[in-house]
Parts: sequence; structure tokens; C-alpha cells
Amino acid sequence: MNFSAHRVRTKTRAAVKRREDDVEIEEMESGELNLIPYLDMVTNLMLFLLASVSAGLILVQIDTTLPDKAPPNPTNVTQPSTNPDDQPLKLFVSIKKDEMILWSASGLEGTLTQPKAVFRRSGKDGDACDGPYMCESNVCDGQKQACVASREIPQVVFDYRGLNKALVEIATRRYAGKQRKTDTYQIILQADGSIPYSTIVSAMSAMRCVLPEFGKEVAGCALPTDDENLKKAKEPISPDGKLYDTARASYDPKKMALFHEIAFSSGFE
Amino acid sequence: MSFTRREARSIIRKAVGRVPEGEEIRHLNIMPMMDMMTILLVAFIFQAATSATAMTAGTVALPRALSDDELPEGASTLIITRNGIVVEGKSIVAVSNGDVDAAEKEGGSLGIKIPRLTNFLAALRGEEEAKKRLIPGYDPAKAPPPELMIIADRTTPYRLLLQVMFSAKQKEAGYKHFRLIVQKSYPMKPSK
Repeated sequence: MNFSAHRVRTKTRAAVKRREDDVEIEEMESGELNLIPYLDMVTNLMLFLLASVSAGLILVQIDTTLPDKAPPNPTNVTQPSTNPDDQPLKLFVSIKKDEMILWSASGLEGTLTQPKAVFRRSGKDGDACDGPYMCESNVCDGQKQACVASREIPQVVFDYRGLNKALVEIATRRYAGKQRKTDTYQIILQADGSIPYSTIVSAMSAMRCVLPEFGKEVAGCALPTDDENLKKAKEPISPDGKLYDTARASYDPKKMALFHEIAFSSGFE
Repeated sequence: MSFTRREARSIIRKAVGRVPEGEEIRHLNIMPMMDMMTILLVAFIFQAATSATAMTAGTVALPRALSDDELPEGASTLIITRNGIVVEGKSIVAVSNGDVDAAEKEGGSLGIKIPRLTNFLAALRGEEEAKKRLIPGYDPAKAPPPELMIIADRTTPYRLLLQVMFSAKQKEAGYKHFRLIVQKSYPMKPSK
């Protein structure tokens, strides 16, 4: 018995279709889970969650205190016989809307009426910068190392490097090479109520340690401590260079804190 | 053209043989990958959930500063956003135009104490103390003073910062030491 080509073709098509259906049924009945939709969903979720996580932020801290309100204390007056370098200088950094002044309540480093140094506002577009903290626009062009305009809320910027330089000069002149007393590290920060937080923290950074040279990375400085373990240790500076024993180490303003005990003040009464 | 039965069967067998077999991957162990994916998912969802309250209160643009002191461990966290003050993930008071509403301050618009914040911090401190007392050998007299980490938006006015610190420093709450959290600033240099 012979078959025509048409009949053979029809039978072949029917047989192929049956085989394809069988393969599909076998796949479905084999018990294997189809994980492709699950993997698609998980991958999409992962990408979405990864994108929503803010990455690359390195957070650091600056410590401070809020001093108690105290009435004038006549017994707290510095004795004239005391060495000026052993007395707390009672330094103040006052930030006004248009200028920042450095002065001292003790009168040893300028007074409120005749401050030690006055710093004007800076950070205009085009001014030199090595970070956004130096620009009113909060944007520093890395290529030009200059402040550029932005749509961000403008911040109040002062010559923080000038403030740092003045404090380094005071610390060097008074304490370099000597054993600096622990109560000489205090400085008081007072600011106009409208001065933004960004200005406050930039000024605080300039008070704590010597700032790195323009364009260089911050190296930090060692802080004075009363840690008993360090007092017993052979070296007066901790192995990580973060703490030092004031009773044994001679003061080096390039490696040690300038005026790190920063207290906030709301003003005078 | 015609075919014998044998030829027709041969043609059909060949055509059926060309149908691809179903793909069966029998030896791929995807369990470790699924474990890893599930752990990552849970971690991300947990992180998103814990920061959800802070996000609803507004985002915080941290100021940058030249500091390299590492973050403290175990301190309570207070966040000042442009829209509110959040402590340990709970929104305490609203902030508008850089100030707390006068009704929230003791003494009205010129007041500097925010009682609601002081009370919340006092309760928080009480809970922390209770937890610490459960630790064997814990001596409150020798314990370091409580610290408060302040994370504030860069536009936060000094006035509001002082109000927050003053409220936290009240006898009931007793936070005397504050750590201001900032974003580390790296020097910007022209690329070579």
C-alpha cells in the first residue's frame, strides 16, 4: 500500500504536534519548579532596593557640650601671679551674619571690642575651594577648584582656614614644646540664631585640629586624655595616634588638638 | 509522488525525532543562591523599614566637614530634618521654616525648651538605664555620661540646634554630651 505525499505530510505534521504536546506535558509533570519568574522578581527587587540605598557616605563626628548657665563668679578671676600660658584663655568665636570674630574673655587674645581676628564672608562663585564646605553654593568644581553656582540653598561661609591659622598661631606661641594644661583646650562658640548648621560644623572643624593644606586630605589630630592605661603606658601617645597623655607629652600643634573642647553659647545675660 | 508504508514511517519517525526534548536541568543546585537572595532581601527590607520614619519627616542633607573622628557606639540618635525632629525613629515635633511651633515651646516663641522632646528623651534614657541594669556588674556611678548623636540638616539654624541641645540637657533627660554627625569632606583635586 502506497501513501501520497500529501497524506505523508499530514500524518507527519500530526505526529510532530503530538510529540510536542507530549514534551510539554512531560515538562509540566516532571515536578521541576519554574524558578525563572521568581528570579526575575528577586533581581528586580534587589536592583530597586540597591538603588534606593544611599551609598558612599562616610560619616564622622564632632563632639560638643552645652555649658550650664552660671552667674558671674568673683572667685574665678584669674590671679595676676599665674603664668598666662597656664590660664584658660577663655577664647570665643562669635559668628555674626556678616563676619566671624576671634576674641577672648580673659583679654589675653583680644577683646570683644578689639578682637584678635576678624574673618569676612567668602565662598562666592569663582572663589578657590577644595570642598563644598568652602562655597556658598555648596558646590565646588573639582577640575577648576573653584566655587560654582548651584540651585541649592546658599550657606553662610567664612574664611575657616584663616580662623584655623589664627588658632594655630595662638597654640604654637603659648604651648608648643610645653606640657599644655587640660583646661586650656576650651573654646566657646556663639552664633547668630539664623546661622546654619553647616557653618557651625565647618567652624568647629577649624577649631579642633590644624587643617590640612589646600587640596590635601585631613589627617586628624591626637586628643588629650586622662585615660589611666595611657598614663601607665611607656609612650605618652597612643599607638593609633588619637590620644595623648598631657602630663608627659610635650605639645605639638601640628599633631595635637588646638581647642577641641567646644562649648556652645546662646549669649550673655 | 507516492511512498511505501515503510518509507512513510521512516519520514514520520525522523520528523518526530527532530522535535527538541524538554529542557531538564537536573544538577544545578540553586539553593545557596536562593538563600543569599532571601537574606539580602530581608536585610534591605529591614533597613528600608527602620529608616522609613525618618524619610517621612523629610530628608537630611548632611553638612561636610574636615574631621576624621569615628562614630560613637551605643549613643541615642536624634535627627533634625527640615520638617521635624526624630528620635530613635520616632517623630517628636514638627519643624517649619527652621523653627518649632511656639505652642511646642515652654515660654512661647521666645522659649528654648521643647517639653515634648525633653519628656521623650527622659523616657528613652529611663529605658536605656533599665536595660543596662540587667547587665551583671553594671555600676551606674562608673558608667560614662549619656551621649546624644545629633544628625542635622545642613540648613538647620543655630537657634534650633541650641533649643534641641537645651531640651536634651534638662535634668529629666540628662544628656550633657553631644556628638554632631557630619559627612566627611574629601579634598577636590583636578583629575590627571
